[in-house]
Amino acid sequence: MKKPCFIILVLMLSVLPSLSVYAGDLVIEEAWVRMPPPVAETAAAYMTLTNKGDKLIMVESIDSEAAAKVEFHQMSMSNGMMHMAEMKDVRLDAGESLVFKAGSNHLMMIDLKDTLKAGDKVSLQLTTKDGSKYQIHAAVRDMRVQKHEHHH
Amino acid sequence: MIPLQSHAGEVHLSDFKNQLILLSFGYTHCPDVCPATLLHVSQALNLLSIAERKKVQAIFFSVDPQRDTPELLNKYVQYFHNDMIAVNAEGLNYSRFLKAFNIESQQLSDDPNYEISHTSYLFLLGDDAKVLDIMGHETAAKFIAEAIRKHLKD
Repeated sequence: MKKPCFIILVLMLSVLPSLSVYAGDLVIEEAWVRMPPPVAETAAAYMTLTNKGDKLIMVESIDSEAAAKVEFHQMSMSNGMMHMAEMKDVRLDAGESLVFKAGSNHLMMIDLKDTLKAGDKVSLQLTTKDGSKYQIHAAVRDMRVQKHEHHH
Repeated sequence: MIPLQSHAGEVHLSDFKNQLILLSFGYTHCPDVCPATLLHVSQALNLLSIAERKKVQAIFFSVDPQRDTPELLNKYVQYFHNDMIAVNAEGLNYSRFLKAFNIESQQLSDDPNYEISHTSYLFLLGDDAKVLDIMGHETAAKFIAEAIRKHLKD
């Protein structure tokens, strides 16, 4: 009686969307990477972090095999000038969401190891101060590709 | 006119006679805003007819002449559109060019991976590099194309 339940559970877990990871209280969704020109050494990654728990979560680090370093960056505009600053202290209160999106706060992948191609899956590892580790799979998107409009 | 360096040699804005210039500022180590701006510019060019496109020259000026060589810059913008050119300038020419367009630029650290905080407006220039229009970097391709068309009529 226990074996079929176990098999069903494994089958259910295997169809969880690969872009959303729920390993602990932190939920990471809609992770993607903006494909940079092949000559570029940096790329931007985007995602939404949500603290589904009832305690403060503090991010310890974020890494990827695809880059030498990954950092969270704050972006703000004033008088037409964009200001960037590394976010050294990324934390989420219970229930809080942090959105990293195009044209706003984002993740910076520094010193890319390989050329990123559209459709590639980039793995990132986020570690929180309590020692929890989260695997993030972000798809590389070529933003030049337009949705086609059909002309008949 | 201020000499600029492209991968094909020295250029000046005045070389592009009878063309509008769509001028953007940025650097290749910029992961988010600069690629997005160049994407909008390239999409705007693709919205124009072939005849209209011949009358516009998109130019990307690097605020990071230390790391952005003309060769690198050319490869960078070719990713977005074949018709784009990219240039840099050094020393006095660099500061004069920034000043001509009221561009502020600041290197944020001494890290090898330093970022540069810079004015990110998009400029549409007419004869004698006269500023016809200034658009924010987030301006959608549709509106950039409209601005180009409007000034092509004049």
